[in-house]
Amino acid sequence: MTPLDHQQSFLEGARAWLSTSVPDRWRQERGALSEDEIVEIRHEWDRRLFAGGYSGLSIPTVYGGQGLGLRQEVLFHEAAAQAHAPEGIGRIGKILTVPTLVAHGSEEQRAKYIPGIMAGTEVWCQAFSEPGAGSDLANVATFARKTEGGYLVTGQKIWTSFAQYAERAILLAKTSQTDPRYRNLSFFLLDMKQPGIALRTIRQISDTSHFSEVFLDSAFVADSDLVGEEGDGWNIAMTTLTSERGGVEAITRYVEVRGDLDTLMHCCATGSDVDTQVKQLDTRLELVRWQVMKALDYVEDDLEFFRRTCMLKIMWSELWQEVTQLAVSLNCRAHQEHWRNQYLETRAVSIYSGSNEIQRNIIGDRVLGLPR
Amino acid sequence: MTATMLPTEVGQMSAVALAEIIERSIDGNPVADYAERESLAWSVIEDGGWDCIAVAEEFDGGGASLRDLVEVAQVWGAANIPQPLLETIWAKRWSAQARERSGPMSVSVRRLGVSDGSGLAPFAALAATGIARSIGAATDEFDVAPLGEADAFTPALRPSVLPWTTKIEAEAARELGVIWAAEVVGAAQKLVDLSVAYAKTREQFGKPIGSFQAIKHRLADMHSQAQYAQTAVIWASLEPTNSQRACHYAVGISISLAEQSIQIHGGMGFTWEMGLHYYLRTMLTRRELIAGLWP
Repeated sequence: MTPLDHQQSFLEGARAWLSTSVPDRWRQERGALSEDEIVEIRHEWDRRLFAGGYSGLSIPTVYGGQGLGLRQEVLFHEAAAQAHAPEGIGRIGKILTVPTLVAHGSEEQRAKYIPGIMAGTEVWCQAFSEPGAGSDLANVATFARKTEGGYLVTGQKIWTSFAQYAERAILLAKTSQTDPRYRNLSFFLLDMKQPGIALRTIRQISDTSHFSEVFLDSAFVADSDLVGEEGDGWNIAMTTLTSERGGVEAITRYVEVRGDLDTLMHCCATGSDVDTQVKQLDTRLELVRWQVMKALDYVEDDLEFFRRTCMLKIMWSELWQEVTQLAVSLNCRAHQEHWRNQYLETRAVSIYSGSNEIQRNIIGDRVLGLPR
Repeated sequence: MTATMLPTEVGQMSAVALAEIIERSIDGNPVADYAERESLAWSVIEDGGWDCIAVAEEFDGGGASLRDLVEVAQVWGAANIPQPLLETIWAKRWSAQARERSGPMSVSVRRLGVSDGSGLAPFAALAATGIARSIGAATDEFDVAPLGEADAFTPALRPSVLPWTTKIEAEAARELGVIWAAEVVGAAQKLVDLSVAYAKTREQFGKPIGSFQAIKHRLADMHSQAQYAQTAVIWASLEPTNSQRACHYAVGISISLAEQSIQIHGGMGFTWEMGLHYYLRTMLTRRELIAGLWP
């Protein structure tokens, strides 16, 4: 088989599997499901992915992944989104924890944590941002104090998705009051189910709650759950965040925005005078997908790959906002509820995973080599 | 689903080799130095077989694909050299009569906004350029146009108005549109590179201006936009049904990049000698020509 045939047969297999595996209730009545039902379906979806052989496509087989390439990962996510598959509740573990452990973890940590993430039995969350450490993430104040056999962590984290369902968190905390900035942080794997941790959900402008605040009061982390060395936290976190802003995320968002833009094109914008504007949005959206595909040819070369993927997050997030801004202005009664909600929800996309302003700094510094 | 969006080996090697030839002939000189004179002799192009790279292999050509030509056209666009290399490559790809001729060739393209049947012909004011009466017909003929008066607005393209237009077969016209758009994208990427380099060395307030977020964010966006423009012309070369919109989008962004590049260069960007305007002028005229190709 040629590489193209191989890819084609992978994709056909994936589409066939998706057509029989996506739960009908999710496909047809998602809007009517309760929060508990949604969580249960998303949990179940992770287990089905694993049983079907579609969990961790680009993760090496020794860690319980499928050992395929990023191309297959991207193709699968695109097909899954097109099939209206749920998003697994284990996504933080898969897209953040696993790549971080593959790059920086010990063999013991990989063996202990990756199988549970792959199988969909352990949910992870991300405890990075703090009230005083948003765009300036290095300003983390949560402190991990050395104690017998580990650390006691005290502080406050914010904007944590899935916190109430998570068994574990990847945690960025300060381990030194004297070492210089960027060398005073450490990266931990935190057990979320312990007495020193309390949660409070955040009510968003859309009147939904996807995020929590996490309060840590002498929560314990064992020495064996420190990733890398003390003081390596900043560099390790940068690996994590690069994964988050990459191509897999972009292709998933592409399909979501595609759904919204199709609604706009086939219903809400018909008969209005915004035709040129809508066509332009359509061209730009298709370019998100082509940009991801173009980047995949450079996946072996980190810098060249990053040159082509560094703008993806800015690209899809600002485009999505423009789609909802236009849509909410058109007064389509059939979709009023949808657009009001999407319009408010998408205010967040240019802020989360690192604000677009910070991403522009990163492009300027790391891709273009501009002076700081 | 495309397995890869990369050009073939022919495209990759041609692009690298062409870049080297250009580098040797312009010898580190700025664009203002060479955009108005014969900086790369046609004999160098012809002796190297550059005009035949996209002729099918069955006719002893290089067999480059349209995707390959997108790669070559970007390299060519980055230099802005006043020779009809791209037009000649394209003509020889599409016309048996063109393959039998030697020397540079070009076409005359419908002008928007006039109804007298006249066309705009890049390089028609350049000595010995054969202007095709038709491309893609059974018997294509070429006129060696009377030198005519070049429109001075675009020194690197030497375009003249001719009283007739070239009859171009639809698929050939689509390919020419993609090639010209790729040339424009190559020029835009060059201007982004020049802007980044300028921002690293030009100092104000005792610091390189590239360290200020007002400049840095603009350059980050320019990098992103240059990437989209490039992706758009690659897309245009791979999906015929989307060629037109992808090319228009790529050219639109590229022109905006040229405008932003002038802003980054400050007062210097507004001078004739800095030469950014040569690229911008080429881009504006290419936009006009591309619009004339598509109904």
